[in-house]
Amino acid sequence: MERLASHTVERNRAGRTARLFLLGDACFLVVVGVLSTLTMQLAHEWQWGFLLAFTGGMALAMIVQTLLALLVAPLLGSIESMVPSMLVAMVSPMSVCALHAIGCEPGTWVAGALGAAFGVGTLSFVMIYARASRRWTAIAFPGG
Amino acid sequence: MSRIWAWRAKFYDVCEGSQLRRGPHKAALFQEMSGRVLFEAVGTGVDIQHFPPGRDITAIDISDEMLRRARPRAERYRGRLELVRMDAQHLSFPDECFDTVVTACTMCSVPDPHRALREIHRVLRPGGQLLMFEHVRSRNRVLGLALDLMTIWTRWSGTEMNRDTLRNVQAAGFCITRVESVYLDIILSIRAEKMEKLRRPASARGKHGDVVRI
Repeated sequence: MERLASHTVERNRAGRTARLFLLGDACFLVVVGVLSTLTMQLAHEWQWGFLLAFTGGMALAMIVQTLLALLVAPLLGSIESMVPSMLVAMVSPMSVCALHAIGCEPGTWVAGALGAAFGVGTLSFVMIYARASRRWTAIAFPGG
Repeated sequence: MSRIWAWRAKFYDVCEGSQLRRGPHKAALFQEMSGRVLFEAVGTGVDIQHFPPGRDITAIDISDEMLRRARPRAERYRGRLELVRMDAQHLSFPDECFDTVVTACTMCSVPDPHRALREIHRVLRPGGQLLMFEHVRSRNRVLGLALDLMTIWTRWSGTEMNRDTLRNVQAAGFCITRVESVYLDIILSIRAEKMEKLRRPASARGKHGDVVRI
């Protein structure tokens, strides 16, 4: 009975910690999405020409993402912050480029909203893939 | 190689010291240490806090600077913990002298993981266990690509993000008994076993009476 109670307390604690990390991941990915996308938007607003804006904007967005990931690494973990934020900072700024390429120029707010949406989208992908990974390890190595 | 790690030792606790997320998983894995234990690449000793008390552990690292920083943590450990400077690819221990070998983010950092695993296989007794807390390349194409790209610039600091450690462990002759996902399929908690040497029954034995692995 005592063991069951301590197991339940432990599980509750683990659940609470997992929820806190999920919240941390969500905030971080949204911030990365918004800032990297706004960086690309800024590169287009500087009228460098499409190719230069694309390459320069991508390089700057990746620098922004790397700095942010290094900043939160002690709290969220180095790989746990670096890998998903890299996806956000690669895909989200490209969406702004794609809009510019088709002649639809998004404003700052739209670009920011796009970045936030990509951040949330990546978080959803990470959550789904985490479940799939747990299932894979359980099937491939049944001892787990 | 040791020069890179001497330099990285200065930032190691800040960049890699995140124990909030991985700590409980490491503690659960290290709980299974038994008998004489070899811990590879102890670094600045951030993992020592997760060692279960009362174990007999020899911890190695290639960098003197890392070991210097690990010493105060090792002194606080309630058990026997010896720090030794040694290359994981050239272990100077005799064959089959450890019951458990533990690695934590080691296989991403050794230049030749196959050689390091062969050395682990050599020093581990038959039936001994290999406990690994490692990050590997994701099976997902997009995440795998992200890890490949990251490796372009992490390689200069001695870390490869895209190694297929599960396959390497099997290729080195270990039997993987259990794998747990710590973060997606990138950070894994791996349990493996060095297979026992068994004598074949006389009828099935080769002409030299050789021993085989099961």
